[in-house]
Amino acid sequence: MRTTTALALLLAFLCHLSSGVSQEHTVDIFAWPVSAVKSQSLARISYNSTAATIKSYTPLSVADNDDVVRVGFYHPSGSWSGIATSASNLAPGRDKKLQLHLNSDGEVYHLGFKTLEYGTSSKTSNKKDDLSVEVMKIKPGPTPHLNKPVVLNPDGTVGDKEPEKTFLQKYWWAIAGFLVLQLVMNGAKQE
Amino acid sequence: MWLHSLQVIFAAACFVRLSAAVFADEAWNVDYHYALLGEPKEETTFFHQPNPSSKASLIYSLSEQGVLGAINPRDGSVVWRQPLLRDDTAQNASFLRAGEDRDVVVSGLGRQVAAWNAADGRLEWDLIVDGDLADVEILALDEGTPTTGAKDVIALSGGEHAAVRRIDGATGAVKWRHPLDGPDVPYQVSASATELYAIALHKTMLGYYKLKVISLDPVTGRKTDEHMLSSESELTTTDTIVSVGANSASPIIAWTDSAASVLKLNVLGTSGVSSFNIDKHGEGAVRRVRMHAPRHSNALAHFLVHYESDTAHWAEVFHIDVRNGKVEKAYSLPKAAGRGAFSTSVIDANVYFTRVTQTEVVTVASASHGILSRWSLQGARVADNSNSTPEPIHAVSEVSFKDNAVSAVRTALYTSTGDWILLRNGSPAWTRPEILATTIAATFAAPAEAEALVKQLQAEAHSNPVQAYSHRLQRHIADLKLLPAILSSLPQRIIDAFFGNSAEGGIGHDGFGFHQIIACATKSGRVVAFDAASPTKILWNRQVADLQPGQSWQPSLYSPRGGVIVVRSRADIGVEYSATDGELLASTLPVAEREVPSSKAMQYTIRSGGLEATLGERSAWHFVPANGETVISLVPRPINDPVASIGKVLGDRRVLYKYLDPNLALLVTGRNASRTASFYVLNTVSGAVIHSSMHTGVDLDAPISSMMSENWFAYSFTAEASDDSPKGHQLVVGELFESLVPNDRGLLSAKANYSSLESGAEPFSLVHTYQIPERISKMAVTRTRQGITSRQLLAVLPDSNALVGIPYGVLDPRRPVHRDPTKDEQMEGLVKYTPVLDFDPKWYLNHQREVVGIKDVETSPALIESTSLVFAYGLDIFGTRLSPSFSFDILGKDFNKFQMLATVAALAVATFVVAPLVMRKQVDQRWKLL
Repeated sequence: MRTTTALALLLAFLCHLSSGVSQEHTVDIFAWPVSAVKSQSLARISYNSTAATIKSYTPLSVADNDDVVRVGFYHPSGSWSGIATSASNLAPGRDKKLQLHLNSDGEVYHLGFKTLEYGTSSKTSNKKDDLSVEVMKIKPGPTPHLNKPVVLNPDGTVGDKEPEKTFLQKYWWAIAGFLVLQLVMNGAKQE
Repeated sequence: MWLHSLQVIFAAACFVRLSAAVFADEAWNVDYHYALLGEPKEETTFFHQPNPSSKASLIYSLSEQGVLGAINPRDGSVVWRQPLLRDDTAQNASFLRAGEDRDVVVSGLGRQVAAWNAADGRLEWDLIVDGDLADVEILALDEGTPTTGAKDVIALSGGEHAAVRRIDGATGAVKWRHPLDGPDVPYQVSASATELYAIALHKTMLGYYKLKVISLDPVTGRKTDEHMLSSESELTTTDTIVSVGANSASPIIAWTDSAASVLKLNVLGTSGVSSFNIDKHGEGAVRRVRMHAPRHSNALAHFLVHYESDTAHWAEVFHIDVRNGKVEKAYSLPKAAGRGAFSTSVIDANVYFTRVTQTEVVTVASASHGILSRWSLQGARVADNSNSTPEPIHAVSEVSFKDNAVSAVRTALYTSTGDWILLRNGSPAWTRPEILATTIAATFAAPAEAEALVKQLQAEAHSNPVQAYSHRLQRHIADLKLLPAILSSLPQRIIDAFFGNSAEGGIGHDGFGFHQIIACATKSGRVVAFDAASPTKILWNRQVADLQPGQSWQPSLYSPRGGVIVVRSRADIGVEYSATDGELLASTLPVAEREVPSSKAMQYTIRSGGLEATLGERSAWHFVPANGETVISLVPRPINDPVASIGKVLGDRRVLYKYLDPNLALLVTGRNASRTASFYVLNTVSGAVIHSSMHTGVDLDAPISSMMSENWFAYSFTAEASDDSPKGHQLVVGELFESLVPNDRGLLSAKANYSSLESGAEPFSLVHTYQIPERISKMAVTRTRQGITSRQLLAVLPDSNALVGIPYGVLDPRRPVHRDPTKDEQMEGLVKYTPVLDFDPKWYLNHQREVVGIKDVETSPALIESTSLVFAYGLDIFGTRLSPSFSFDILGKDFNKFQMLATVAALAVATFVVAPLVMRKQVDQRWKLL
């Protein structure tokens, strides 16, 4: 009986683990200059809640008169989310980083884009050519820093304190010292 | 013993010092509060004696905004009030009834019937019925019970389980319930001295209405009779039903045809219908027909029908023969220009009608057309300079008799300007600006005078020295013309200065910038303006939007420069008005001034559930929340948000640099399924998320308020208990820094300029959460001219009807957790973090007043740096002046100028007296030494 429940628990835990971590998603990232109507594919990225890998990457070529480029992805509903960034950031040869903002379900809800001169926390970044990618999972909101709770016994009294030490436990060293002193003194007298 | 008494004295002295720190002289002096009820409704407003044994009466009203209250007719103060309906989205019919000689008033609103003590507004009982109320009446039945008992209430409810109920007047228990089955819509109940009638609307196949009258036995609730009234094709809408009389000796029902040419009347209980032709009285068609009848069962069965056309109004008085149920016309009251208001008063059994026209107040008896009293209307113009006379909308009156003649008439008149005026014998005794209870947008505007000087100085600064000199000379010569006026007012100003009244006075001399004009746009399309430093006087009040009944507008107000207020509705072009007198500045704006979206300006808006930004006319970035999430609010950093210092100076003189980006906004989204709320700080140029957090177990029905200013944000919500946080209301404060290392600007250090589009520098954030005792429905922040003064977070507490100003130092996310502050931190003023933030009673800006129904708070800097002006609106109007870092640049009222001058004079005298003595002494000393 016991072993079966333990087994079931273990199984459930494993299932949870697999669903929590290794559930892979892929997302197509598009980029298009503000003047353009049609989006071009920029990258195809597969990700889970902790890491992402770039499956494919096609650098974007931007006409000279465009200085702002949109980088985004499409939601299942058909609308798109994305950011605007300077076209110079997408120039070939510049190290760029794509950030996938993930919500609590591990799905991407927004993008971030920066060039690497603004630093990298590169714990989960994965690189292909001059594009790297990292996942940023939404953080749980801060909670109040509470003091230690007072634990009550079932009968409503404050949890029992440590039992008081006996006199001997407390002052054994003094008595021992006294005895040793006595012995030494006696020995000295007898000489 | 000695020591003990000394201690007591010392303690008492300390107490006095402490209480002085609350600035008792400033409360009720720098702040103002209008305790409003909202627009009074004609059917639910009346005079009533709260104590049947005394003659003194109060005015009771249940307003459009769902607030029930009693007003003292002597001075217009609120005796008590009870907000019945918190949200004004539901448009429910409301009812307010008072029994003759009874000390309770009964209200009906939505599904709640409630009885309130008429003297103090305490709830006696309440009852929730199933289905929205269609009518509430007090049963005036004479059952031979002693007259001291409470009278029973009849409630008619609609919906699926439409029913008539008789409710015990003393306990609120249902005595009987008569269900009204079938598709008929319950309309009204009406009670005579012996019978009870329920009127329902029966819809015919052709879409017309028929009136169905159901007679009920008041004792048992059994149906005794039922009959249909009007013939086919007469009633197309319910709007043409004029009135269903109630509680009179013989209740009547009246309706007109859709062209308002025939008035039909039926005495309830009979089946005969009498028709009267409505005279056209000239060119204008009759727009509206109203009926005014006494609501007393022992009053004479007389009533007045009030006709209104576009340009005039008149009335006819009818008598009912109670024995045979015949209605006949008695006399008519002549036509008068404009709109008018009629009101009915009953003394003993006699009925009196009081008519308020644009020029006079006239009282007649219902029996004959002889005028009993006539007073000309003096000074009822509400705003000083309004070019259109306010028109009477409706009125209630109380007539007093002495020696068989009318001795006084008190009329509470509601005017088209939204003022509730009490006319005592034709002259206004008090005015309540009830229209301000419907304020939906407000703004501060500096007066034009200050602006003119700024402009002149700017002109001098930007021209060549010769021109500037001549300009300045001309200005001073022009100023000389004002000299006589200044000289004549000088003595008064000196006296004022002595007695500390210098902050008050006209808009003209305002050195401190306290005299700003507050303009409020109301739901009915009016703009009302008053002076923030003397709010008792309404400066102007004018209709700016021509709204049809039922139409709503979403105005936004702002002041682009001093003396000008721009009113905008939705995305329309704004119209400019003068802030001082409300005059239209330019009726049509030149086309060239039309705001063409610049190709370089990023504009963003909430559209179809997400944020969309456009650059020029092309879309730039989108933020669409994930599936199931909805946008709750979006708060951008204020446009005018000056920051004095780009860094925070630490205790050891090092600096933490603030992340100051003018394009920041705090977006709040919620997901109902998982009860989570997410908070994102967005860069509104690039659309990037620069800070995000998600809270679980959030009550999304409770208000979530948020605020963004400078480099910090705050939000509050109500959370369920979880493993690491207790259930309760939480306030989160976050601050963004360029780097958390002192004296380091992080990645931005090398840049003189940077673009949000190019750089992706992210701030470092520090966040603290506090547990707060109450929910916060709205947040705002104080604003000062240069941003040097520390800030206060203004929070509206809807549960205690209060507004608190929380100093930023208390919220600081850098407060050390679980340890005492170090010496350096102490130098900065940081104290140890405590998870619970209790609202200090000193933070309550409203002091002991109840500020009900605040929806939004506006702040504006004064001219002096220490002070911020605060204005809160919603139902009540509340305003105050705040000095978060105390008034360091202005002398307080306790500064005694007279004492200072006297000291200087005494010292001067002493110097003159002592000087010869000192001289002689010095000379003597020299002689001694030599």
